[in-house]
Amino acid sequence: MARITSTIDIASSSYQANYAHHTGLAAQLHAMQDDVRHKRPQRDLDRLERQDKAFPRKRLEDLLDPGTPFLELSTLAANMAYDGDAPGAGQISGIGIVAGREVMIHADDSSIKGGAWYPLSVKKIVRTLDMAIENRLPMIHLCDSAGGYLQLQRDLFADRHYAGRIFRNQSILSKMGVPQLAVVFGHCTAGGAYIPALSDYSVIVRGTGAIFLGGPPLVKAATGEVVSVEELGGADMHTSVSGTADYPAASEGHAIALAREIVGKWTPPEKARVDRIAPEPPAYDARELYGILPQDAKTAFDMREVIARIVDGSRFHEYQPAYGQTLICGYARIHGFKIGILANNGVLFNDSSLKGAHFIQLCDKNRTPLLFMQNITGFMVGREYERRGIAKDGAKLIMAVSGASVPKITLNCNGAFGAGVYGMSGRAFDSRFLFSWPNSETSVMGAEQAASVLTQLKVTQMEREGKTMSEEEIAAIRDPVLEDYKREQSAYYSTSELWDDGILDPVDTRNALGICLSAALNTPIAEPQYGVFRM
Amino acid sequence: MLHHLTIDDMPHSIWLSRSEEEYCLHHEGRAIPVSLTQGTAGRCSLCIGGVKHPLTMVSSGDTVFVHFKGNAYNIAFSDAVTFFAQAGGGSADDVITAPMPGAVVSVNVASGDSVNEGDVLAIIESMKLETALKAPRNGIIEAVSYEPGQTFERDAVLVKLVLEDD
Repeated sequence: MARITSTIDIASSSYQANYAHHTGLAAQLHAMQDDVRHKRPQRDLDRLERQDKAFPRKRLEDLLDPGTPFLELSTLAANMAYDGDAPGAGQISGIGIVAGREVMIHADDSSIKGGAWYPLSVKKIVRTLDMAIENRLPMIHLCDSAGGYLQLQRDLFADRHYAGRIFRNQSILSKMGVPQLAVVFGHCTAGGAYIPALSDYSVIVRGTGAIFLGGPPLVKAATGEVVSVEELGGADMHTSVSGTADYPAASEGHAIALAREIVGKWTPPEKARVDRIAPEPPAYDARELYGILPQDAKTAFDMREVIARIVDGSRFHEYQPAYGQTLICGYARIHGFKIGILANNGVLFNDSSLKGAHFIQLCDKNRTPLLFMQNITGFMVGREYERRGIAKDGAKLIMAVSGASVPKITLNCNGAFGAGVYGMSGRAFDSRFLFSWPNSETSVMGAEQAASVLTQLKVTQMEREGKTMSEEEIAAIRDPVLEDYKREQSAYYSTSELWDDGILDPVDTRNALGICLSAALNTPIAEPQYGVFRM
Repeated sequence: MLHHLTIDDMPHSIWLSRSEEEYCLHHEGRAIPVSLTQGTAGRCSLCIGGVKHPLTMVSSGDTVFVHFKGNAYNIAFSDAVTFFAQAGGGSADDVITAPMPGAVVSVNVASGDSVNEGDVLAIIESMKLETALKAPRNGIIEAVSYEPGQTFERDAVLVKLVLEDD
């Protein structure tokens, strides 16, 4: 495969300005992630120490094999929710290596509100388990939670994908034959009790760990019975009497050592067979991505320049290079895994949609995982395009995206606007993983377009009533819409709401994708099968 | 989680990870490429950061005796579960509970007695079967809860050992 030849001029002033802008964004991202991981009020750290508990990040570090990568997911979940009270939604999740096995980890962060489950915590745990199911990743739960955040129970308890889904997902994972281990460091109360109970294996720390449907205060209120935590649901009771937990541990260190030994007994799964060769680093420096990406969603850039800084050897076999050029399709490798790439290089027209639908089916038949690189402002609109059937051709692309059996991974490189997102495997289309870059934006339309549409509607309505609006009145409608849109289409809002699986620094993208591709291959790839393509 | 070992009784925490060459030794935040080529009669060549050093080693169980640069070392490996179980102090082994309901036949110890692992502390009778309750570890008796002839329910705490703090 030929290398992509970069035509970027790194001495140009636009490159330099972009570089400064995007290194700034990356620094901001790392600072925010660092705070979520490590910055806590002293009283919370003191409380953990009083309780004889380790900082949850320390537990994670001890659990993982030293010197191996950990791909943390949704680090900045809830960063724009609950007045910032629940950084990371009070949960840690990610893919790592334990005793040589690739596993998915979910940990309650007891240094944040005692590990209480906010609505977005539940969403994060459910999503973590969804990823474990889709990628057949064994799960390790590090349990230490105060339970559901009762003030917000209406947003976390009853609906289909609320807390019950955690336990449903655990049961499904078990039914699929994917092992699960729970390590109980703190309390697992009410619903939380089912996490260890539904795990194939469980370890519980003596003195601090406890499992019960109702804690001592609830028992006292319900039946008047006075009972201690240890008697009601402590390590010795559950491991010697009830059989709810399997292994008692003398300390957190002992529990983690046991956990690592248990995981070491799990038979590693057979990976789906795909085309893989020895990896090769890209020929161009990934840091140059900072200078290539523009500073807004309006400025066009060549996605080949981005591809060249992510794929092995910067080698790319472009499919239909002369047709439907606003959607780049082609084969490349990431860490040796062959992948099919669909990358936006402009608006989706009829021909680019058809090309994409065709290429997805080629990759599916060819057992080649798909990478969608989004920078999409939408499908083309206008009389000419409707007459050519842009909706019909877009439907073909969506049908292909929805039906593909090979693993899909989505990366929002700059913008994800409008219906084009559906054609580029947006969140609703079950990509195994979806990541955003810090600069990226997501919304049904751009902020300025939305503000002008909404303002225009109001102006027309007033005119029907025979009134005219002053410039100030129009601005009073437009400006708040613009402001809300700008805030809610930012990558930080997306990731706060778990519309993605995390924000990646562009330079870390290649490694993250390598981990995801490896994980995705735990699941056998089904035969290609599609719905009806509207011809 | 790191491996725990002692070199001449001094505790150390290290980790060996696989690397492209052979292994990478993780120690106190540093990662050093290492490899070991085994020869005959315990003679080996240890390569640390690209520099080769001859050494002789003999292993016996989880202990390795190494002769390196004119000195002899005794390196003992402790698996993580054992290491932390021992470091943990208080354990289930601090209380001896009744495996089933029954009656006490005899009591051989009193609080304050020191006992060795395996010493018979008491004999109980249940379902026409006599069972000897033995000390799970070396220690000192904190309390004996029942006298001969008394009956107890399942899981009753019969004997308690004083918590160890190392």
